[in-house]
Amino acid sequence: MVKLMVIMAVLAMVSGSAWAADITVKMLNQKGVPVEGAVVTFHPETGAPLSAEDAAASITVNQKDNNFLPFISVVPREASVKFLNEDSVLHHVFSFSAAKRFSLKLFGKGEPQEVVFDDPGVVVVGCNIHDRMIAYLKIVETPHAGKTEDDGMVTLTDVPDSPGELRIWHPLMKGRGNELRVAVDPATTSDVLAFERKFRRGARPTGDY
Amino acid sequence: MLKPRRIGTKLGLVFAGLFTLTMLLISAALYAVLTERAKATVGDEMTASGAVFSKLFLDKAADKQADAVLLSKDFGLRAALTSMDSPTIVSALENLAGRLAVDSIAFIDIEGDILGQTGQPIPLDSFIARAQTTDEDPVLDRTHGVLVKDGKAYIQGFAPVRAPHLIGWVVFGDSVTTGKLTALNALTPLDFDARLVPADEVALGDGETRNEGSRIVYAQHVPTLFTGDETMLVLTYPMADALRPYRSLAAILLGLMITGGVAVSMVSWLLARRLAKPISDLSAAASQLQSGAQAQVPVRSQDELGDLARAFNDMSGEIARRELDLRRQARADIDTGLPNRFAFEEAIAAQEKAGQTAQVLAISVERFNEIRTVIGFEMSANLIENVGTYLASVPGVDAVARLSGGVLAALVDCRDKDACSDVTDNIRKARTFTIKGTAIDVLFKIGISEAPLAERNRLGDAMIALETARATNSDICVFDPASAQATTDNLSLMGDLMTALEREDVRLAFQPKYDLRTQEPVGVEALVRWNDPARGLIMPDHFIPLAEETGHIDALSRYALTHALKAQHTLWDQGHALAMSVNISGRLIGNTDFCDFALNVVKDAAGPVCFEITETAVIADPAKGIAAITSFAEAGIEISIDDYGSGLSSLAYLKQIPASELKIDKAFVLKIDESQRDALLVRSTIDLAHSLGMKVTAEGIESTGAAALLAGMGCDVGQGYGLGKPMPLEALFSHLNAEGTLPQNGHGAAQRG
Repeated sequence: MVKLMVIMAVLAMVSGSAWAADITVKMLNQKGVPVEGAVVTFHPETGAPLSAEDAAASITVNQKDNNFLPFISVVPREASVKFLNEDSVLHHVFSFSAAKRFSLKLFGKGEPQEVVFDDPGVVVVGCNIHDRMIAYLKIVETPHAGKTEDDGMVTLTDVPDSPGELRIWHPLMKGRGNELRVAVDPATTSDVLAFERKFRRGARPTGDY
Repeated sequence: MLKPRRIGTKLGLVFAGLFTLTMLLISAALYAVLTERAKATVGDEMTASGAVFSKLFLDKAADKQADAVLLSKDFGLRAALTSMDSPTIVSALENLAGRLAVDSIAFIDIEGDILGQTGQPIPLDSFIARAQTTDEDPVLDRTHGVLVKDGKAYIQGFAPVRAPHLIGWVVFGDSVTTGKLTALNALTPLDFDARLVPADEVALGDGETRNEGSRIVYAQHVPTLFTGDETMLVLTYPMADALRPYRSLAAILLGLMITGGVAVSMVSWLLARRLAKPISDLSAAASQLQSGAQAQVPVRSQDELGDLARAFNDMSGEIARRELDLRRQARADIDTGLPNRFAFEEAIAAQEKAGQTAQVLAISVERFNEIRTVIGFEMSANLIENVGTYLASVPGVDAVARLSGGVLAALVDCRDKDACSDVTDNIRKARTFTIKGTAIDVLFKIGISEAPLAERNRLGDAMIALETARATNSDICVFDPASAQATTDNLSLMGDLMTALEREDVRLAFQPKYDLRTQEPVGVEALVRWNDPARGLIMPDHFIPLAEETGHIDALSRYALTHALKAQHTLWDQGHALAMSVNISGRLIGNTDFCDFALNVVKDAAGPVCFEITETAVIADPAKGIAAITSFAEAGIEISIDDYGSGLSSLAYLKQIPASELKIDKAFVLKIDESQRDALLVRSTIDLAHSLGMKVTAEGIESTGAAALLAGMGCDVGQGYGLGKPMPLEALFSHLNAEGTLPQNGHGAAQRG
């Protein structure tokens, strides 16, 4: 089974490289400041199934200094996310999100927990003990996915040369579903696609009131 | 309105009124100050209490909100709220409401949708609207506050629900009932009525205190969740309660007002009474004085009222003294000191009152004027005084008085009529009085009123009797009621005379006068005849003397003269050129008005006019009489001396009167053919007249014989029944026309009439 999946992944890579194109996106906030962590996905009309390789990707969300790291993670559907407690205290990681509700009660250092995300969507992860701890998992169904760097840019490589929909999501982006959807044709798009949107301030939940 | 009559009451009322007014003004001022003060005091309390109330509300809301924040973090709650299962959500909210101890709670997601709600629905519209339009978190500036909606007050708050990102809010509401507000009162010193009211329904500004009628009202803003929901806390406090601390003050003030008012009115009443007592005493004494009684008032003080009382007493004494003088003077004759008529009338009245009958005597000292002329005023007064003393000394005389100059009165007790006439006889004897060595013989005449008569004055009666005695030249005369009645009749007769003149009931009769030589009529004498419808024919002998006495002779003479002249005109018009003789009373000779009238009317006479005047006319005032007669004569009026020989004939006057005719009184003529003596007198009179240049007319010729005799004596004109009696004008015409001359024989003495 594993062997078959590896073969398929290789085939995909080969075939992908046969008609590949890149999409570079630059995300700016309302002040022109680059936004880090925006999840950019491309959804070609022809479809872009996730490979077994993608699903096999191991993604870790650390709990360190009573914070989740990273703040935003891109998780291919059916991939497993490992919650790794590096603090000396116990954490109770949970999600009430529709895409995946779970509760990992009180695990400590050296007791990594794994959760598999079967449904696409946004999963907001918190700690029941530490209110300020928050992390976002963007469960994606396309292999063409990436996250902007601190310069606000990300490049999706080897996307099919087919028209499709570009989706940019960030938890603080204003707008329905915190998402921006744009139709693009990679064949005709060579430049950096720069977008400017309004963002809420602060990455963390504000205090109690 | 009832006006008090007494000064005491007036002053009492005025002072009490002033006092009350002052106290009322003070009370009003005090009330104004106290209410302001109460407002300030209560206002301070209200400000403090308002702050407390406000803080309590907000603290409670804040506590609830804090609890909500904590409880909304409950893992189970969050699990339930994110379950997307409505019953579960509602159930979880109910549980939360229980934990928070609030009435109602709702869960609203960040899209502004209400995902669940429990308890009484609380107003959420504002919150939802806000949630839908803002990305801010928290959605509102405030997380808790109060709210008034539809008259209900709430505390409100909301808390975020994070899973762990913000997924919505729980919004809670707890109604603030009156009970809850009242419970807060325990924390404030005063029992305010506290209400939460929408700001637009409150007239007061934030932190403002105001007196609204009987209440003190204070308002203060209370924070609300939404700026559009401005709410105010309104505290009210009854003014009566605010003034309660001053109630004792008011009671004291009222007490002072009442006791003070009573005291002031009583004191002023007493004071005024002390002032008024002497005045009312004076007033009473003055009334007493007015009614004629002696009046004195007690002098109580040395002030002005005392002076007034003393002055009044002096005045009262003086009045009494003068009155005594006046009374004495009023009752005494000044010259003699004898009682006067007034005193005598009193004596009569007193005796009549006592039921005694007495004779009233009017006693005159005869020829008193002559005596006074001789002996002088003073001695004559002495004489009368002596006479009075004498009369008083006569036994039976009760009272004596002097009535006028020589007339005295005596009141004679006459229980016994014989004794009474003895007294009278005693008095009437002539006496000799010696005055300052001069002996004076005095003759008395007495008029007596024997008994009182209804509506008659006894002294008056006695005086009338005295007059009668004088007139009849008797010593004594008793008043005769019948003669008095005649006098009354005569008075009414004179009244009727005037009516008769107006109605021309008085007619003229004309008696012809003939020339005894030619036997031709030469004139007529006009004589008045009064035929009264009620009394019948009234003779001139009767009414002419009365008319002379009462002054009616003037009107009568004017009437007679006017009508006589008119008749003369008629005669002349008919061809009878006769002289008209009219009798002019001696009383009228001195009357200038009448003389002027007579001269005036005679101017228009048809022919000669002759005024027949008796000699007595000039005796009263010879100069004036002769002057008047002279003026007549100068006016062409013939003057005839009438009734010559009957009264006092004075040769001196005869010489002075410018008469053209002398009429021999009929008393001599009537018996001329019988009495040699009368014939002699007539003859010599005719001669006397002729020698004085006068023609002579004989009256009372009753026969042709007498006429012939007189003609023989040289008498010029004859008049009498024998020649022609007085007749109306119409009859005169026929008489003149029929005979034309002196009748040869005729109308005998039988026709006199």
